[in-house]
Amino acid sequence: MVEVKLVGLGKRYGSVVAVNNVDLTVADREYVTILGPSGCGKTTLIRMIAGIIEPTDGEVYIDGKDMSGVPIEDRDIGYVFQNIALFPHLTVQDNVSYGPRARDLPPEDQARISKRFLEMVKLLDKMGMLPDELCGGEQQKVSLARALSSGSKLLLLDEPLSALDSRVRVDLRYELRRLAKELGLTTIHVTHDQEEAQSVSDRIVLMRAGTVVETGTPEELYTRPKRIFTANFIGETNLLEGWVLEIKDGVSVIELRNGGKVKVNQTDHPVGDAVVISVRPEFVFLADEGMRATVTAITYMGTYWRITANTEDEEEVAFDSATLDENLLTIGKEVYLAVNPKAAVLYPRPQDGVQEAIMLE
Amino acid sequence: MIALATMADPGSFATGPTLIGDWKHGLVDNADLAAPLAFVSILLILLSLVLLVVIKLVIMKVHLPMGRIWPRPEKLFSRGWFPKTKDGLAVLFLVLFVLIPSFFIFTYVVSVEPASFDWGPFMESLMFSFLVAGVVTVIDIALGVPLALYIAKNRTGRLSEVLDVLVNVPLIVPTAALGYSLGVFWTGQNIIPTYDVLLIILAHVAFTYPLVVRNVAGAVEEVDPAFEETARTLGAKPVQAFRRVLYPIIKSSILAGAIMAFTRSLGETGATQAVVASARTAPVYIVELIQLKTASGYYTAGLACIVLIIVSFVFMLALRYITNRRSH
Repeated sequence: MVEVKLVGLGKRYGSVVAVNNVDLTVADREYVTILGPSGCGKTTLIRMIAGIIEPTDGEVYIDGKDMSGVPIEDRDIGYVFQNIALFPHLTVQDNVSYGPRARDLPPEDQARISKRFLEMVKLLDKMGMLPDELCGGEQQKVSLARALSSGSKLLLLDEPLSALDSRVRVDLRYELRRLAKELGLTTIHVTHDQEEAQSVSDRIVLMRAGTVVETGTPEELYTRPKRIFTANFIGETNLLEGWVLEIKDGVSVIELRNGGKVKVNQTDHPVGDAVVISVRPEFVFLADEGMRATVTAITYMGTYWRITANTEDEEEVAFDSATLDENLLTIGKEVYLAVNPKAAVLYPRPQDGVQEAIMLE
Repeated sequence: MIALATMADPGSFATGPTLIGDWKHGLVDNADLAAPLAFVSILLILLSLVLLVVIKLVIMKVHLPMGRIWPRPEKLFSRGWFPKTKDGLAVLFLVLFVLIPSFFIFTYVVSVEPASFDWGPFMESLMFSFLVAGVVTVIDIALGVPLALYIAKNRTGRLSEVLDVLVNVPLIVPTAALGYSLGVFWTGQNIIPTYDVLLIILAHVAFTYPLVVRNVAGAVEEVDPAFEETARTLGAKPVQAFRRVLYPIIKSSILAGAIMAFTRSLGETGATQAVVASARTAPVYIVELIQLKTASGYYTAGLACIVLIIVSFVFMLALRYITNRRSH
């Protein structure tokens, strides 16, 4: 059983705060992703869990044991680096058996363990090769096998897929989750790619500027994000400013700054309050009344078209359309847009403005 | 090397380093030379330090090479006759002024009447040189690698930055001045007994170990810290991580630094003479032969030079082989 608990964890470099007061518990066998833009402190956080960086505040507990002062090699972790870092002078098999050898297991066990994990990532046939002779995806699989071969039940993944081609990246994500679940590992996966985070995680921890913004399942963070930053960072969304005009039968009517009116099934903001509506492009549609806007761009996305339109006060609204009727949708055409009241989320309008709330740093 | 070349010239022209060598010899009979000798050494050391600082400042402040560009002349110089002439002249210079004079010794030895020649003293001096160079190289590695690791791994630290500059000092200061200074220092103290061999070795270590430090520090900085961190996460203690991961990766750089240190020690004349006037390493012996100003002296010196040239050439080939392999 491996549970990871972070209590008030922080890292300061002089006056610069890289990670600030993070509390987090990762349950046994849970797959947690730490997601955030570059420079949000997520890598510092995972390196503190591994013991590569010493925290300046707070503690890391692995399995209930305080890890303060415990060196990397005694923490019993598997760690996969973004830049793969296979030992260039060792063969694939020697790379994978490095861990068992460092722990001084008998040679038969070293061979058995390395073969077992190479088979698991389906690279047994490459075991005599040098890392240079493999392609990027294979290299990262070897590096994963190497991390797993230490026998640890805690797997730390530091941007494991960022250095790979997009196709390989998608294939390997599922591989990662499959292996973690099969082996019953507790996994902490750091990434800046929200799509990756959504497809592999049991739970996502979203970070910004050294602090945790919000924690939740991929679905929670996508459909009911508690913060504007989350709504904007995970998936795509339209953020429209307005105020509550009236509340009736569990529906708030919002008058937008652009003059349009929108209904939202959420009533926790009193009449007159300034609010921001977050609504994803797939929940905005053409209507006979609502927001008036002019189509400015049409982009073919494969299974749908993404249409961008400008409202009267130059707010940009994106929406999706499964079909493209050229009588209704051409560039320069005026349209009326409505939103699905069940899928829109209301936030109090932030004091420093919406832009400040969604800024990455 | 400059000292060796100018001293070999039988004329009376003297550079700073040769002057130190000559005076050091004279010191045996004439103790009054001690003061001017120290003065010249100090002057040389100070001048080189000033030079080092000036160069550092120039590079930092003036931004060499200069940022400005001149599109028209640069275009003219980038294609057509100019690059070809430049390449041709460069090769011609190498052949005419470096290679032919260096290897001319072969034709000289063949063309003159063979004089009676006693290999004994030269072989003795060559063995002595090899012994010194070998011991020096071993000490260089033992001292240089840890310092290189410290410098490379604490790049952000102030101390490491200072050390990085200071390590270059022995490379900049003329070796004769350095040698004299070291000689005065070591003979001036009474704690460690000083033997001539020990003094020479200490002097050679001082100006050769920066070569090891430079090479190894450069190599370590190139190595991704993730290698060692990975080894640690896999359960390796820091020493084991160094031995099985970092060392194999930087091995060829250590070897390259060692070969450079070895050949440098093998060829050094000025410092050797400045530390111990009576020392007889191979290059010192050659200079002594030339200073005899006899036909047999020149002839023997010629043969001795050929041996040294061949030895150096073999080491150069080895160095090339190692550094080539490193780049793959």
